[in-house]
Amino acid sequence: MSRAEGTTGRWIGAALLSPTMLFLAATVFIPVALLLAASLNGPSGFSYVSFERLVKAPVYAQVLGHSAFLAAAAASVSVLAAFPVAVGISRASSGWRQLLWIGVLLPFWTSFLVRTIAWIVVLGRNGLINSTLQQVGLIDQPLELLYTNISVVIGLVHVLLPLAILTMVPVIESMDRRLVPAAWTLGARPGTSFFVIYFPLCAAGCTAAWLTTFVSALGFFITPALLGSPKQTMVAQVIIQQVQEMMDWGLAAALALLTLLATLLVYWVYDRLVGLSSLAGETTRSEVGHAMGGLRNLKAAIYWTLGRWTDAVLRRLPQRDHSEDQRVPFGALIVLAALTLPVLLLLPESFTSSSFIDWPPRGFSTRWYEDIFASPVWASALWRSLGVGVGAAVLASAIGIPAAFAFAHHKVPGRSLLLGAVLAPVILPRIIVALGLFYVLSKLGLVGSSVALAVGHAALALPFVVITVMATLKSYDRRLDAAASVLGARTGARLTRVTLPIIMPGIVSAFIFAFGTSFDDLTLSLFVSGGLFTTLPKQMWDDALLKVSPSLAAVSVLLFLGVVAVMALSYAARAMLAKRRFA
Amino acid sequence: MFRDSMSRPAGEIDGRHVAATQPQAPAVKLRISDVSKKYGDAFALRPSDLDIRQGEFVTLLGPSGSGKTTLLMMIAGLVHPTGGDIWIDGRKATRQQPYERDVGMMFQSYALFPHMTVGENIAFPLKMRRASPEAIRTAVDDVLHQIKLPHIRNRFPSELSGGQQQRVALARSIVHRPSVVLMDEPLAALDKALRAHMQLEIRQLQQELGITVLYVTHDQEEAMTMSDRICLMNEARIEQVATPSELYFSPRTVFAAGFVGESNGFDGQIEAMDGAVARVRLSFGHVSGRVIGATQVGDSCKVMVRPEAVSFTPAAAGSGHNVIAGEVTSHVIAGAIARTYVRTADGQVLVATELTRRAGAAPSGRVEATFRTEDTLVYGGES
Repeated sequence: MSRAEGTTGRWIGAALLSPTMLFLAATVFIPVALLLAASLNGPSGFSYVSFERLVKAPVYAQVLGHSAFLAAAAASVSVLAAFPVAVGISRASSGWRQLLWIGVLLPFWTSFLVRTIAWIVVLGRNGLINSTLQQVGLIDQPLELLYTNISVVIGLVHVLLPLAILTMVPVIESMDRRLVPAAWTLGARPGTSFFVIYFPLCAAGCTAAWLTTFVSALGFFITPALLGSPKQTMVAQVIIQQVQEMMDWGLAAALALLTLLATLLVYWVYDRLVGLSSLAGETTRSEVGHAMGGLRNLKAAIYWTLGRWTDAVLRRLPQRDHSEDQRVPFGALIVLAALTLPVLLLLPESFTSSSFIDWPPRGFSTRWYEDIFASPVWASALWRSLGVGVGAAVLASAIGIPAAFAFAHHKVPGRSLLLGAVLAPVILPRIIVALGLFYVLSKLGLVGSSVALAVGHAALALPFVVITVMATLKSYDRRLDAAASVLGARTGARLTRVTLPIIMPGIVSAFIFAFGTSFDDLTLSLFVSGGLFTTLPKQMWDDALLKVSPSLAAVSVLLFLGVVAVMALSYAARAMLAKRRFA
Repeated sequence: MFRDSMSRPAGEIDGRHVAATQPQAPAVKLRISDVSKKYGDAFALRPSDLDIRQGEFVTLLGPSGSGKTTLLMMIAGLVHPTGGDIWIDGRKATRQQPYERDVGMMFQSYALFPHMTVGENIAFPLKMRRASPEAIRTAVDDVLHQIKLPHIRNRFPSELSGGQQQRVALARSIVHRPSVVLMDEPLAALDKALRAHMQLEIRQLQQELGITVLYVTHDQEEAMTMSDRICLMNEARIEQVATPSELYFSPRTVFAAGFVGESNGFDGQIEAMDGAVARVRLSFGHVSGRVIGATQVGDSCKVMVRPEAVSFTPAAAGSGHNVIAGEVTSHVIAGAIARTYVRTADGQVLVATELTRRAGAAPSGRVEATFRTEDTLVYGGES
């Protein structure tokens, strides 16, 4: 490549990337920086007073510590449960694979709130488990399942599990499928081939999934608020409380800073141990770097021992056939059933005639649905959510798609750093990003504006757009561009006639992803919307804080059916497209 | 478990019976007996038999879908046969798990463990057989010398070139001295020059160490270069098992003649039979040739002649030569050999090849192409 060409290439990359960078600077980086600066902003200029208060009252340290504990527990359970699903997906025949993907994506797209409300039905004092156990006669008094550490962890896991699976699958699928058969032919029994070969190669995916879910959980407030007692208060709840009830920006900002530092610390440790590049789905070479390390030897010794023990146990069990793996992925099915079934319980619950969501539902009535359809509040919330969602998706796509082109097809100086910057809205706990935006918007007097909310959602959705379109472009054959140019197409014609039609499925999923992010967001909406100006999740949240009623179950059912309908449509559209292309 | 099968005397000749007149053939290391594989109603491999003896290099050669990889996978234990039995080193292995079989395997993608160093990769099969640390160290050192890469022990596979990875995969498949080493198109990913080099190197190492190898390839030149015997496969069946020269000069079927080397092929009808020699009427003349398989006068048949058997030097009548008149349409120098295309009276094409020469006139115009009766093969309707 000539020097002139190289330079233009770089300029094109920078030009494509600049809208994204400017947008993120305005919506994420500068607001978060201003927010963090506010933590050092006392009544009369610069002061440490907020931090002093943080340190003096032990409750804050307790909350932070307990948040980390709950997040770590939830992340660990999520990774353990996600592993069989990810393995199942990577090994299943194409029929099973589709079914398993539906099982992952359906809960993934179902609102956080819906999934959390479903667990109230299961775990409540008069919920499914208690009433069943009482009926069977195993217990006399209902167990206290709800408002405990366990209920909060279960709720967090339900929210995080699909994310963990989505993080793990690409890593597991990038593994050479011949490695385990190769180990067999070299004499490795099933236990050894699993622990010495298969598992270490999945480990990067597992740790990446743990990290992603941990950081995500650290910023949650919905689950601990609805499924936990004051003991399970998490740091995001305290931050919200400080801002909304105490109007104490200094303390909120100081807490946000601590949360951010904790997050960065976890990332730093991860980078030392595994390497951050594995997060973006790129292969790690860190094992190579640690070839001689004592840690590596220790890990190997543990894997070998586990393998030998497993083999010793398996030898005593009846032999199974490993040659042709066409078995039913039972482990994956069980986990996915546990994800979906609680949500399905909301359906009978929404037709109850009682005004409590006890199990089993009493009588039959459609009054909750009638209420919803008659109420102007729900209708206006729905329309606002749809409008904001479409606006955010359009904006995020318009800004993010060129950035994806820049990363995938052009030389970008400082690529990994810039890619990290683009991912910032998902890498950082959402509460911090949302709080930063709220801080700036409140200074600008823009709180309560639909446009401001859409812009904020676009920032949250931007990473998903860039990643999704990048993934599509990765498999795009660039020789097609060359062919189009040689055949006489100028840049515009090449894009509209060749490139865009081919990557359209990726763009559509990016758009849906962005829309879903906005439609489901409560964190930013919590701050920015309010009063008559409310989105659907905000309306549900306000209701749920008062009382989890059957009308919420009805709204949840409608939302769930909406997700099912959208997924069915997208599958049908894809099937039709595939048929036309390859017929 | 770590058995040194190579220290065993070839042929297992019993020391007390040295006077025995007939030296026994080397032991059968691998026996395929009536093995078949069906997926649904379709055969991936029809019932087949094959014996491989100690120290032999046998190649499964055939187009894709011919069943060669299926057979290899069944021997490795990665696919279960529908019928028949597999014997490895005298033991029935049909129902054994892959890790219970005494085989080594080299995969097309090498399948080196990316998280282990070269040394750890090679030590893996020894470790699985519970060899002592000293035995492992010595064996790994030895095999690294044998593949001429003693210095890469602590590197990771991702740090090696394609050729180096290939050699490490070879080392890993032979280090535990298995009864049979299975190789699944291991050279397919290498460029042409390196491939030619590795063919010789693998063959040399195999002969030096006396390893028994079953090799899979779709490249007939590779099969001819490396093998003691070639097992030619087509449409889920074994077509012919023979040494390279047998396969080349006496292919048993039209498919074998066409797949291995180049061939001219013409349809004809048998006019007369004289023992193993038939006189055939073609659309542009008559030829005589050796009959392969059962056939009789009046049958339609196919006549095959290798291009290098065809020449343009006039042959004396009655010298056992066939003569076909035609016109040269083109003469092409393809490198070491030159091809002459001759159009027969009714427009069919006959190809003749000879070594390329700097001087001398290329054949042109009307010519008489001659080839010997014994180089002319006549296949009856069935083959």
